[in-house]
Amino acid sequence: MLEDGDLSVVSDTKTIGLKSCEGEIFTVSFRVATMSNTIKNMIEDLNLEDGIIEEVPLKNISSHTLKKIIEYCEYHVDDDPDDQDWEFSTPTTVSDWDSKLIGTDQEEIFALILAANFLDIPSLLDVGCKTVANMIKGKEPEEIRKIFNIENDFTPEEEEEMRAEYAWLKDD
Amino acid sequence: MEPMLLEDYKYGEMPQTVANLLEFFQTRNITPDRSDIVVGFLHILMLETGFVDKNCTDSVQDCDFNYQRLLRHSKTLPQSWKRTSSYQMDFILNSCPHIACSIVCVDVSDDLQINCTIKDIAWYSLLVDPLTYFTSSKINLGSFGFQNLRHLSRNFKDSIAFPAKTEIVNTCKGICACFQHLPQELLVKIMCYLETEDVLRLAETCRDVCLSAQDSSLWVKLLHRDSRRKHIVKSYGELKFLYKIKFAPILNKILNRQRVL
Repeated sequence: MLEDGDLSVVSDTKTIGLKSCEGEIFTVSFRVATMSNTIKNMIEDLNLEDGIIEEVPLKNISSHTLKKIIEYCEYHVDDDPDDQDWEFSTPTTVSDWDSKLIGTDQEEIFALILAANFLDIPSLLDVGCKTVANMIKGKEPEEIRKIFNIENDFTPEEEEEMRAEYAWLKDD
Repeated sequence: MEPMLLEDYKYGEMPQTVANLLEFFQTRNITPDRSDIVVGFLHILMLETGFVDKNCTDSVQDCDFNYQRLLRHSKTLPQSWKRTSSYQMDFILNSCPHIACSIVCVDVSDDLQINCTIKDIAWYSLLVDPLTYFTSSKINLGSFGFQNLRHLSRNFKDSIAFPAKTEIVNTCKGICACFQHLPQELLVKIMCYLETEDVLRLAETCRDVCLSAQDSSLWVKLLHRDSRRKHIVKSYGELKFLYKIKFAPILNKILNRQRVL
């Protein structure tokens, strides 16, 4: 079993290949790769710290998304994890650099969130969820449906009931 | 027994799907070349695997072999299946309609390069030689004779259609990159960053989201966050709504504790 300190010693010189679903391999340093708790645990559990890891297959993640994730991890690799309070900070602020990386394409954002969740990169997952939360804030249900292409599967009666409920709430 | 599948084709005994395909060409006044016909076969093979055209609305919701559906859908090729120098057909499985599977074919000298892409998930390819599937080098719609269709069928299904189907079905069980299909824990995580009013409005959009909004851990977190900011629930109306969506016990507990303090 590795101590955190041990890992950081080897992590600057060792590299690891991450293979996207298209089969493209991205080589990154251990230090960057272990921003992902999933990969970190894998390395520790399998005792791979001094072996060569040529490729870790990431079948759920596209090259495009993986590139963004690596860019994020390389940029944030020196962040002090204790420095950040990942618990709910409102207003939900996302730094300019992060929001530029995340972009505005919904499919990309959701792909990034799913990948960050799978790879267990808490800070990136938070940035993604905050971005989506910001898209929802202050909007009416109908607007939200339009933005995310959500099909309204309530019956007209249920909807009327909810609308009445909500109108009453607003009057208060 | 009459042949059902493309692989059952024997000279003189044509599955109805192949007859449909040839009729499609005839009624549209298309004089098909070999690649056109092979692409038509691929369409049939995808249908046999359980795929349907992306833009079709078919009431059969499963993704298994369905002979009646196969007959219906083999009557036409998808719109814009043939482009200037390539072919493209987009398919979906009715059980996972949000994941499209594109078959793109390109003529590469005498061969036909078949690429299959499931965006962000997988990619397959296969090279076939259309010539091997025709009995004659002449092209004349009335006298088409085919051969080795079992080989085409096996080859295409083994290297493209079935792996693509398996991949989509597996992915569907797990994930999909759109809001409605995010796993519940991620929906809840997003809601944790919203104001209470926003969560309520979001819950009104559809059943699945409404269900996720009833996650009690969400409300514990929201109330914890908001109580630190000294306004828990702004109105009785909100409280009533919360009651309605079943957080009453938790809310009560937290509100009571607040009052005591």
